[in-house]
Amino acid sequence: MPQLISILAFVLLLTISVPQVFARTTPEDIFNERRETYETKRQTFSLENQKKLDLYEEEIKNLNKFISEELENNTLRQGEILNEYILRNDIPTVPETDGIARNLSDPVENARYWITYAHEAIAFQAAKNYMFGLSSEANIDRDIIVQIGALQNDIGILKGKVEKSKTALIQMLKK
Amino acid sequence: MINAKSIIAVVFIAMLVGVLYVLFEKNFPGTPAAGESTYSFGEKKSAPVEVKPQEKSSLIKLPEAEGSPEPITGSTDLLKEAESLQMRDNSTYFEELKETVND
Repeated sequence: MPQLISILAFVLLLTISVPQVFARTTPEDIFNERRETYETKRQTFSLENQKKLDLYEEEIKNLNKFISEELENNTLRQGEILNEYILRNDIPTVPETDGIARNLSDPVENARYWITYAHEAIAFQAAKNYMFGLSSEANIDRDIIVQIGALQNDIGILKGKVEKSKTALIQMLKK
Repeated sequence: MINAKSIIAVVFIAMLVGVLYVLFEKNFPGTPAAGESTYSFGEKKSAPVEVKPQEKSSLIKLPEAEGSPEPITGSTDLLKEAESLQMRDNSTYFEELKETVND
């Protein structure tokens, strides 16, 4: 009997000590954690400054949305032009590959690749969130300006991608 | 009378209760404990949820979105159409917004 109890106790101890399986940390988890820290810090600020932060967060969001939509319309138009070109020249559809093998020396494939690339980058930018650093309450103006600058910088990079896809499209049309 | 068997039995029951408690907590994380409010993972327990008003930009004036362009047809000059695709210079919006911060 004591041996049986010992075995049972050992099995139970093993069950308890089974390590927990932790879920993989996703970008959403990281954002939520940052957001929680941000909200905690924001609530220590004066009501006036909290309202200011909320206002500029909304302004940055609106501006990002406005520009992203314009750039998206631009790339969608590029896609329409590409489709019409393919239709007019009766270019056969390239079979789907694994995404690694691409023939970018082919002007049509090159244009298609860069338009898709730009379009995806716009979707990523549109979903991007800008959170203020909140270094201290005295520095909120600087923190806000830093985030406006970050958005400006991101939009500049994004416009470069849209310009690149347009260039690829024009090169294809000129051939 | 307390003997070795009764001590082992008590320890065994205590461990069993402990195991059941741990398993119950692991398998039913959504079940609220007594006096505890329900909440989802990653959601703050203490801070009240603030509903922010959905407003359009009020500090800077953004232009109205452009209407849909003419559809591309068989007679459209594709090269001309592609070359006419322009991106707006947005730098003034950023500068205007930055200027409002210090006001």
